[in-house]
Amino acid sequence: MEIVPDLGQMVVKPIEQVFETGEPLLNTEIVGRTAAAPDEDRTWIVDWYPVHRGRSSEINGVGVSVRDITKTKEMEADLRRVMQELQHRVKNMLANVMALINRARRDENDPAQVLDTLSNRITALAKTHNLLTAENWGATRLTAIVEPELTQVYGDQRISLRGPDVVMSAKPALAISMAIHELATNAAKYGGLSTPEGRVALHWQRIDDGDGDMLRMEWRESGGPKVEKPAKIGFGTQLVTATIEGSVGGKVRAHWEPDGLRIVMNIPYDRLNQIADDQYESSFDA
Amino acid sequence: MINTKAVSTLNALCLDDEVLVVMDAQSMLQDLGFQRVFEAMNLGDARAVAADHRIDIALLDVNLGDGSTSIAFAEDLIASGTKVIFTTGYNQSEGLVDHLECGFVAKPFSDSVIAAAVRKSLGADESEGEQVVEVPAAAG
Repeated sequence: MEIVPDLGQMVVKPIEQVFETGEPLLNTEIVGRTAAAPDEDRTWIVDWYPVHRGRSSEINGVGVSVRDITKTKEMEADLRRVMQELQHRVKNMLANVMALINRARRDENDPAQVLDTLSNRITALAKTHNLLTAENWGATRLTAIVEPELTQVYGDQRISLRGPDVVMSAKPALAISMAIHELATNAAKYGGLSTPEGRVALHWQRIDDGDGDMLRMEWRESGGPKVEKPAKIGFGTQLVTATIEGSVGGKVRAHWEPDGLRIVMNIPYDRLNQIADDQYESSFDA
Repeated sequence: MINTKAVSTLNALCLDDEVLVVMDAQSMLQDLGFQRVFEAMNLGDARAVAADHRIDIALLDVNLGDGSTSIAFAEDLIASGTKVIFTTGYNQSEGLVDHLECGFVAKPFSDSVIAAAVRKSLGADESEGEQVVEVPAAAG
């Protein structure tokens, strides 16, 4: 192994020590660079041991055994980062669950209703995470996001999904999934999914009306009870607006039409591919 | 208890990239009787709110998901007289905010923890008599 001058300095001391004490020096860690890769720090574990000629107690030299542990070190660092990220995500998840509990307690009076609402929302959260885990927090199709909330629950007789293939990263996927869940929950309670005849159509397209490249999603309820604009903004509406506007920079417009509720969501197309939050898996895979 | 009369003249801002968490924090602060409680899910929106309104107390998530942190924003807020309480899912602040005079709340948090942190932050000013600090609009 050819070593650069800095490293040469580090070698002198342990050799001297072995000569002086006659004892081996094990597991010393050395960080340095080699001529082959002068820009790259490498880490070695080095054992230094005395070499005797025959039975003589005199030390004739110092033997060296070297193991390169640079890769192990890198993996340890990666692992620490992943662990920290995991801790962050778990805490975030618990914070979300806590927020749902507080919300359910605020909104519902009947304890059974509190638990029902809570259970549904936690299930929705879990579904989305299943989806993201399946895709390793990478790209997810819009249909894969909305189907579990719509057709898989209410059937394709009552739900119409139509639009081109759209793929997005984790953050917008979470936002859209949460928004669709809230809209569906609301429709099942009061709107187009609260009666057997009621229907929901979710249509989307990529448009540019002069406001830039957008994903425009239209949620249209029909056949349900007559709807009117509520006097007070409910949690669901607030959640849909906050999610779409706050986390992916979109715009949400609600129209209470004679036929039923119509919601238009416009999301800047480039926001669909923003690098999702915490893509530590990819750096770990690399 | 927080002096609701004093609080009713104050504005609060909560910033968190998690929609449920930010809405929950907003409800908690509203329950404490603030005059207005603004919410933001990203730095740009938060800075826009701070530029347009006097913010007396801010509840800021340290890590904003997209790799950015709220620390520089907090420095600006503190410089203009806003009380800052950080919320974080990490166990420690990792020394990132040791230089700042601010409160700290671990996630997940409950309303009583938030109430205590708010009380502590605002209480720090009580000895000086006046609680309301005029914040220049140039916080952004």
